[in-house]
Amino acid sequence: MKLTPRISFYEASARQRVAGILDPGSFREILPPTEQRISPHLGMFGAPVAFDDGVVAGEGTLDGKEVYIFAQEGKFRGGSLGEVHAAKITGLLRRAAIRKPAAVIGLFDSGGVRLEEANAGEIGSTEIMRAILEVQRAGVPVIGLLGGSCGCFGGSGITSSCCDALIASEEARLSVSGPEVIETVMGVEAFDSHDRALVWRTTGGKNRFLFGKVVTLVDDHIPAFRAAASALIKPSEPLTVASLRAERARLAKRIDEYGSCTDARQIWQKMGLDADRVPDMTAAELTAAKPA
Amino acid sequence: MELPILLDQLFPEGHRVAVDDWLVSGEATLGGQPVAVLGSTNHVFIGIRESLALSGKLLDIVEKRPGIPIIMLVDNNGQRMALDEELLVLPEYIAHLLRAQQLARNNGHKLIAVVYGNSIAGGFIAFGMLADRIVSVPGAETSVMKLEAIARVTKMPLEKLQDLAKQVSVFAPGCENFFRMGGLHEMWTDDFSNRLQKILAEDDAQDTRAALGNERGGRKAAQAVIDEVRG
Amino acid sequence: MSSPDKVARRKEKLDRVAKVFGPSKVIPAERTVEFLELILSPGDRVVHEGDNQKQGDFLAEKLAQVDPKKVNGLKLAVSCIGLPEHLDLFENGIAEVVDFAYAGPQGGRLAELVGNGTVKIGAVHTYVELYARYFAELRPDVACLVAIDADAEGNLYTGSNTEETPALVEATAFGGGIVVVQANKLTDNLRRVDIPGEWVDFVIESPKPFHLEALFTKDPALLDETRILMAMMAMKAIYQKYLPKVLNHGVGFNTAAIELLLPTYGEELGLKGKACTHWALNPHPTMIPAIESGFVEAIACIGGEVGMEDYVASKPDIFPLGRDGSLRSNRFYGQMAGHFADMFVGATLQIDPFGNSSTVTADRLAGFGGAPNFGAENRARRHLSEAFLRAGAEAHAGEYMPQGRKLVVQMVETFQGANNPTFVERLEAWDAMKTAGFAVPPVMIYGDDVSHIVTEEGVANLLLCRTMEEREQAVRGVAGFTPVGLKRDHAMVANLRDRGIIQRAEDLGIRKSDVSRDRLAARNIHDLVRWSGGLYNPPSRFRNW
Repeated sequence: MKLTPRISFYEASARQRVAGILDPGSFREILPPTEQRISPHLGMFGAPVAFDDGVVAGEGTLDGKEVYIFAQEGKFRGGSLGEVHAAKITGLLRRAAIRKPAAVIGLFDSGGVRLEEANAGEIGSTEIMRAILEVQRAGVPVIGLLGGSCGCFGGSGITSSCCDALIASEEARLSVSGPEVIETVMGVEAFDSHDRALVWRTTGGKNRFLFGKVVTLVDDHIPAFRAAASALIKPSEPLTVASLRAERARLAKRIDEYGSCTDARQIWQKMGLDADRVPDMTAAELTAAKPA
Repeated sequence: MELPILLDQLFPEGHRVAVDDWLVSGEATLGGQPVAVLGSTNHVFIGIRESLALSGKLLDIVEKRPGIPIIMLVDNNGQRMALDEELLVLPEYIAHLLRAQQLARNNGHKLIAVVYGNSIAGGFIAFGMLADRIVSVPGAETSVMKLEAIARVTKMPLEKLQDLAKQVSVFAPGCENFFRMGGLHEMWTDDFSNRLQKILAEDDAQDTRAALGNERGGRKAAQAVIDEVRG
Repeated sequence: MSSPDKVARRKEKLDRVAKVFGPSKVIPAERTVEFLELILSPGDRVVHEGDNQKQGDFLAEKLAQVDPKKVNGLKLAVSCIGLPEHLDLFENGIAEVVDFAYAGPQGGRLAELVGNGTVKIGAVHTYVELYARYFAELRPDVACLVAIDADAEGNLYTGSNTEETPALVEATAFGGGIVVVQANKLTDNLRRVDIPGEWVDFVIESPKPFHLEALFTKDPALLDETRILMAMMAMKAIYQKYLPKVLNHGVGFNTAAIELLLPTYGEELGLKGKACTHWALNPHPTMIPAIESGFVEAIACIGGEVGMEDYVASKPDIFPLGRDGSLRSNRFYGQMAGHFADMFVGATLQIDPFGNSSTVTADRLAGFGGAPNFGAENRARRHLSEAFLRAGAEAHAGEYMPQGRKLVVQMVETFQGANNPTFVERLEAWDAMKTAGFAVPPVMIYGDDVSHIVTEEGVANLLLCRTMEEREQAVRGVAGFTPVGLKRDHAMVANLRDRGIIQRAEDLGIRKSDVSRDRLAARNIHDLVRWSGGLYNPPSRFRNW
């Protein structure tokens, strides 16, 4: 069996991802590395800095539509949220609230708050969250893409969940506490973070897709992410009591139905899927098999 | 600070606040006006069920008591760390709770968070950090991660971290540090009721924390970068 | 103790067991310690089955629990000191001497216990050397072996990971010893008999399946561009030049990179059908794309590999399958197949300026496993091949007696990690010699057996070196920024490069822009599963889906 070549999102750098998502040549970076907005804190720890503080932000077009985009660089300190890193994303979102592009696209690849800047990163992450909620109020949708090698955890996990829609590959991981953190705090019986299959079926793109937080599951192929993102651009739905009551009812029903499950396989079984097959299914196969 | 004492000092004009296990909810009178009170106690962990309980109360307030201020009382030990919670997508539940807070803000409610107990990491994000104003009272403890844990993860010697923590506010736990970073708008030591009325009278729901962090010297880069990118 | 009355002592032990346990060959697992105390006499030579893949962990655990007042002075022989219990035997005063081939995971503790006199080392061996000695002067009194299934008659199914069982059982059963087997399951329906029951004295159903390490599973996601560059240089400078048909690859990531480049770069170089057709190898998952692309005709399996069972079973022309359809490996034969191959490609932890290499360092007695056999110039080889003759022509040019030569390639990055150079002026094996009391340093592959060294800086062809000085400068000339590399004689190195003894990437026509992960036939474990048509079933810890 030969494989169809793929342009891996998982392996690409933040800049390669941005270039692959936007129309060729359309990207204009804001505060590019030449501007050298580095972390004012890492030096004190003797840690290396990056001229973009691990995040690329700017504007461009996607299928001709004007979009703003940011991309976390997992290869720099795990894509962690530091002061400057967070401020760039917040600034971009506030820019979008004023200028109203067709969408903001966020490429997440982050273990969460940068511990050397824990307070700045945590506060910064909530500034991003507020900015997302405000830009949505202005009608601009925020679309999150998950599939980087660092996953999307902690403050970034919550931030991405504030998006209007998420697109993920099966390689994506999304949760608040990372498996290593749960294992460290609660013990290996609570979560064996070395059991990679367990990690992925718990936090991975497929489980998130089957619950609906991820609306499109794609293969690890940048053009697939691009097509999915383009298809999801539509004005952000306003928050109303009715829409949030419906969201709440959906989340409560999930607890009623699956709250006693201790393994994703039990959930998939209950959903009527062949739980042993799910990990091996392609994005298209699982999309077809997903219960309505 | 103990919850009953806090309530009495915040609302000397009277309050009708019930505590159901960890969930604190009810109403109080402040300057002759009704305010909603919603919060948590007993250092609860914020998980999927806690998020829904809080969002349900918020939606009730928005629906039945349009526009009244919401005083959020913060005491939690962080997000609930468990495989079965993450299995059901905990970040989605927390984001839902944040969306409910934003709905209240959009509908004209003022959101004031009063940190009176612990306020840790994802728990503080879920309930407290997205308020319009965030204040602390004595006894409050805020943290992202303990220094011992930071030392373990970053492989930095604990002694060096403890040393650095005396010089900068950027990473170590504590309300003072959060205040200098702009993460707390005010730190109250007395006169809670009057201070609460005063802060409610401020007519600004903008997120001003980066500017505060800059003024106070704890976070000097963020506001400038935000402004540069926003354009 | 191989005294002349060995047969009588065997009978005496069997009678003791019969008196307590009755005539059955099946011993209840919960009485294993009591049983072992009956068949072990002080000073016995005990062979424990355990290599770098499978380990008879249940019997090892029970051996360590016998009463040292009853059983002591044992001479332990084990291919791989892989379990803590192996060394517990010494700390508990049960065993005195160990003969072994490899001590990977326990290497650090072994060095410590040898240093303080708790463990005496008989010798460090290669695998086949140790097996061979079991038939000569190291005849076992008792062998503790491992099977997947056993029946009440002692017939065994050892399956994919048969590995060394046949060698050990034969040396013991036909040497007056007692054969004890831990089996995952007792059953009346063996799918195949790998070992006849007549050779087996006792079987014990272990409470849980024996430990099996997925040692040969290398995640392509971890291959960086340095490794890809090295692989491309090796393929251009060596594979394409000599066209080795029969070869063995070591365990490491460097050779995994070559395996994954065969269907892409290897195809471009025209290797398909001309080289790399026959292998002595475990079923490496990274071989799947090359197999699917038609590069491979047959693989002699030294062992099995966890998760490869179904895929292997689907390739009866390539893998040695039994009539039942499952793999049977054989470590002894597989090692010999590699010994007589055209080429070996492996790695090491340290290389000195003369090309001597060792994985033994000052604080780790790691041993060598199969590398010295695979990686030794084979003076016993008489059959000819293109690669053998081409290498021989270079190595023996101008000599009176024409002969062939085996290709022995060491592929290493110049540094193992920051401040840890691979190239050193003096092997730490010299220090280990002192602490362990050896007469000579424990060298894995001698410099004069090595034909090529490949690093990220280039390829050194030692076959073309005519003097020790030339060999030394050839080694230094690819040793990068290590102290050994920095001490090179620049004029001599330039001369060696002119003569093609040292080749850099640019000399081989490989541009930096050619070096990319895009060339890998599979970028991650999941791609390997896709290549296999879903038949490869990797262990949980290698999945990210």
